[in-house]
Amino acid sequence: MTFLRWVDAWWMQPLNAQPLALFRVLTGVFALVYIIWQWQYLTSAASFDASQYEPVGIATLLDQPLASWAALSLLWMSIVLGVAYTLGWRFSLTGPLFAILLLWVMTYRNSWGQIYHTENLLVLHVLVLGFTRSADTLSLDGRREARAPEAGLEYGWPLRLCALITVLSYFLAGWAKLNISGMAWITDDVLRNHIAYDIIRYELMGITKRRSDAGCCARSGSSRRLRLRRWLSNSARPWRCCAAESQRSGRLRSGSFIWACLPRCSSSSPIRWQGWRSCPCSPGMVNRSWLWFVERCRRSDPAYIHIRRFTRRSHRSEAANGTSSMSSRDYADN
Amino acid sequence: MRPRVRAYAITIILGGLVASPLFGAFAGDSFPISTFPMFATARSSEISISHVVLVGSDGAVWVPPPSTIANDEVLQAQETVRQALEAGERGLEALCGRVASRVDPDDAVEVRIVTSTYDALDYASGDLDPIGRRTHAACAVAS
Repeated sequence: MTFLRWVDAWWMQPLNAQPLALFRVLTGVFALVYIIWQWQYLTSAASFDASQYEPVGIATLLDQPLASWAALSLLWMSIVLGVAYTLGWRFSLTGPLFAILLLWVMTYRNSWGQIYHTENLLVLHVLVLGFTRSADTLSLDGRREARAPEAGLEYGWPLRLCALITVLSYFLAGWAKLNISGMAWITDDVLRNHIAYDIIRYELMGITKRRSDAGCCARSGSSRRLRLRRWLSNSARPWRCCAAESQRSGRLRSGSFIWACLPRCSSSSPIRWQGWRSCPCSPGMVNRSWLWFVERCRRSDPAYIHIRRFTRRSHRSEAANGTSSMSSRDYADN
Repeated sequence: MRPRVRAYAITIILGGLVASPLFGAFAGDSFPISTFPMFATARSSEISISHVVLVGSDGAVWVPPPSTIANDEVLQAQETVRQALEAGERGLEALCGRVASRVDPDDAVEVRIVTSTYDALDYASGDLDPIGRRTHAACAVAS
């Protein structure tokens, strides 16, 4: 009983209304920007064949995809309700409605074979906030009240629940790897092969990385998301290759990924490989970390020997050819 | 509803749903409750990927952008190819025709849906040629 009492006291700790309200505003702005940013993908389902519809979650309520006008109307409604949610206008109604509509819109977008796991937490957090008193302040509803709300039980636990859901999601992602592949996932080459698979599939699906000109792995194409990634990768120049290669900034945290990335970058652009060692654009700490990493590779890891050998070979080949550029047409059919 | 009851009701429902894959409640992946199976299965360095290639009049082979297959999303394009393969001949023909209708006939003369196999390490070292390629379907681009 003492433990349960302790849990209850921790979970139901009174808190001011502001942190929860601020989190509502942040999630609302993020959700709105995300919907607008993803608009072309959210609406592209209209061009898919109905046979591609593989409903997940609440979309399993529908056997057939929605008519395109209905899907589009729901998208527009989600934007309108998202604005109301962010501003905290008539929140007792618009909060739950936006949470449910966002759940639907995202679930429907994920019902065409590909599930984008990056959207889970957004939807779950908005569900928590939409059904709690997260608009008692920093909101249009709150402005009507004569005085600011006092600290209370109802303002603390939703934040703890959002944190718990976040931790649980990451725990599950890690647990799934050990549950499915066992310890081999850590000790074997599973991650490296997955990353290699990811790189290859991006290229085979038409995201071509040109390994010359502006950057070793710049991409030809026009997607807004990829343009942002390129910008991000340019902002952190020592990592630019890996950033452009990974197409997801999250993977920069993976040390193993660098191994999958390095041989390609060094092989295709040895000059830039050398350039990273003293890149003037990079922040000092990043540059020092990079140098430490290179030195560590030089001393201990056989992979670096491979990279160096490859770098020399590419130097020679570049000198002979005068270029190291590659286009999507370089794919030869065997 | 009393605040404490409401708090625990929402916590148990949402927290329980998110944690439910731990107890085997879901066989497959879903949304927003997920088993997070991505990058979890064992994978060898020999990698097979089904995709679309275009063939030019000079015999050159290249990959089209994902928007010719589904939309600008690479992963969605790959899923579209997987679904076509699972659907069999009809699915492959439909996808092939759809891609053919979206490419410039001055650029490509044929669309092929293929499965290419690569050695990941060779590929990472710059050897971009597949070690094997199997053609599932091919169709001409109408001029």
